[in-house]
Amino acid sequence: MLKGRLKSKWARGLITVFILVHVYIMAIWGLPGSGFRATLARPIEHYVIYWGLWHSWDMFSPDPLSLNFRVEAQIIYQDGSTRTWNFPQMDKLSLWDRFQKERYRKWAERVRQDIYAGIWDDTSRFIARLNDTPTNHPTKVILIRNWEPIPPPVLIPGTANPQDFQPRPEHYEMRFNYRFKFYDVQPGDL
Amino acid sequence: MISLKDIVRAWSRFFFEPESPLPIALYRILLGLLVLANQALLYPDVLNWYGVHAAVSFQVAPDVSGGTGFNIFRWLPHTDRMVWLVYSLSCLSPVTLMLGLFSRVSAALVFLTLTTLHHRNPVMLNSGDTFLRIASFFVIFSQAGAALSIDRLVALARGKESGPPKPRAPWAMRLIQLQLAFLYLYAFIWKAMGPMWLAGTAVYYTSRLLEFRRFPVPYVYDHFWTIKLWSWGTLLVEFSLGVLVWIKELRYWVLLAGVLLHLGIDYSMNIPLFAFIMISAYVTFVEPADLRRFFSLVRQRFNREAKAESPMAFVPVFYDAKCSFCTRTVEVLRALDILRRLEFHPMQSPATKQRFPDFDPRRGEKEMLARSPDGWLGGFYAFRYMARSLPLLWPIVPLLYLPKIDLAGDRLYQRIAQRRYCILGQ
Repeated sequence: MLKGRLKSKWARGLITVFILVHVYIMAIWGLPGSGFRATLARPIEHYVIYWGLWHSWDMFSPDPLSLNFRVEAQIIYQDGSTRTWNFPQMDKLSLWDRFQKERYRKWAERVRQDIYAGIWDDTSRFIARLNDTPTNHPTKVILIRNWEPIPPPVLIPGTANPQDFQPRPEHYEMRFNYRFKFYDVQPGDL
Repeated sequence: MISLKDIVRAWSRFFFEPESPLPIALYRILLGLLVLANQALLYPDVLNWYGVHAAVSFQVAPDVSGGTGFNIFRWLPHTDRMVWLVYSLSCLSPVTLMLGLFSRVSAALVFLTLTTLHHRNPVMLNSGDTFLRIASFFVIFSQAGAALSIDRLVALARGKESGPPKPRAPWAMRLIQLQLAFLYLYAFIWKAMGPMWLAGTAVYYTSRLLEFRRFPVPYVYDHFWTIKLWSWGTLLVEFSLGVLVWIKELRYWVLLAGVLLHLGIDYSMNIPLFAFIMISAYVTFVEPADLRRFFSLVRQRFNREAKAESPMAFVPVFYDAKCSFCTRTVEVLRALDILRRLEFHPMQSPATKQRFPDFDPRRGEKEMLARSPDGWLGGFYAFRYMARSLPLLWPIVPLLYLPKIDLAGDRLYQRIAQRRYCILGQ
């Protein structure tokens, strides 16, 4: 009886420690980046990252993106010919394909950003493999981002309504572009 | 003033006061379903995301997730065949989790396979994936298998449990609730740092992002007052789901607002499954008594349609109350009888003889009996008849009507029935 009570006391103590640690993780890990957050997160960092408890709840924030973008790749082949490969464009896909291929949008969203420069080589290699042919191999992959800012809402004079700006794919051109990665394809990449 | 003792008492009540496992069991089923759907969507692109030649290499992936995390491929050869194996396991484990078969092990497998795949390629993950992974971690420690599960049926059959599921300490479910509340609170804090959200124009921009567009939303996205309402409403609902959801009187209103917000986003924006991943977790906030009331309403609605001659009819079942094996079987049948269609009558009870004068006690001693509109059915035939009234057994009902199955089934039943006192005693 006493042994059982001791055992349950120990179990409850252990569970309490477990709860405290995980509530701490929830409270600290999601905080917006700062020196304060970094200091508090350091003791739990290894545990959180190893066990996949990392998270960030910054959906559409602090501000949503105020531009539309597309990422594409220009592939240059051995014989000098070129080809353009587009990341799947959600607005041009069917409803089901948009649903199933949404992860390509997320991938492109990250490839577009400089903070994800670490994945540009992998991305280029992957695209080179996708576009390889038995007789004509890619020699260079150029990643290009195209974008068009969304005009800020401007009131229609005399009304309280914003200007009716609903860009439709068929009438929408991305005026800005930037070649952000030039990758020389190596023989082992294909 | 609040004393430390009060805080400790409140902590203890919040995390350890026994509660029905019904909400967490229901969440277990929904979680399994959503993980399965999420994984199924990945099927056409498994090798593009996780294969040897995937979009992100094995070496670079840890840099994206911030460090080296748990990854089964560190110990197994990272081949495409192994990727398919881990992926298959990530699809199979949510099925066993839904069924509540080895619930804890299934939840652990869901968590470990998801964590492996997420660490293998963190580049295409969204917040829904993150929540599924973390929730499955807490489900491992919960009492999710204590109700609505095969585990419970096994416990009933073994005599380890009887009657309705016993209340248990809900601490692991509380962690899921807390994680959900923190998610919304931080989503609110992050947004509150953005000038567009504060100005009420954020939804103007999100509505014009081509890549997210799903179904058209006329008027709402073209008028300032509706755009501001949606932008500020989002902030208000997220704050409420983080803070006000803990106030009992406000809880259901806050959850309803969350459901409407997510369904609105899901209608207008292409963010697959995210709304349902979030909404499904709300079930952990629902009081078990309210869940039971809801189930009871659904049951009444179904049963109103039931007529004696239909397969949905109420079935009187007669069993030997002196036989442990029989009473445990009745416990299992009771748990399976979600529509409460079976009426159990112990054959020794005088009320049984009074209510059913044509009941034959000598036959009742040999086999379990069920009464159909066409007469008395015994043994295998009684079971087959009962199965028609138990929706959870409907998948196997056609098999029970295959040719010669009745002969084999009846022989097996009779052998077990003859030895029933030897199996578990009287």
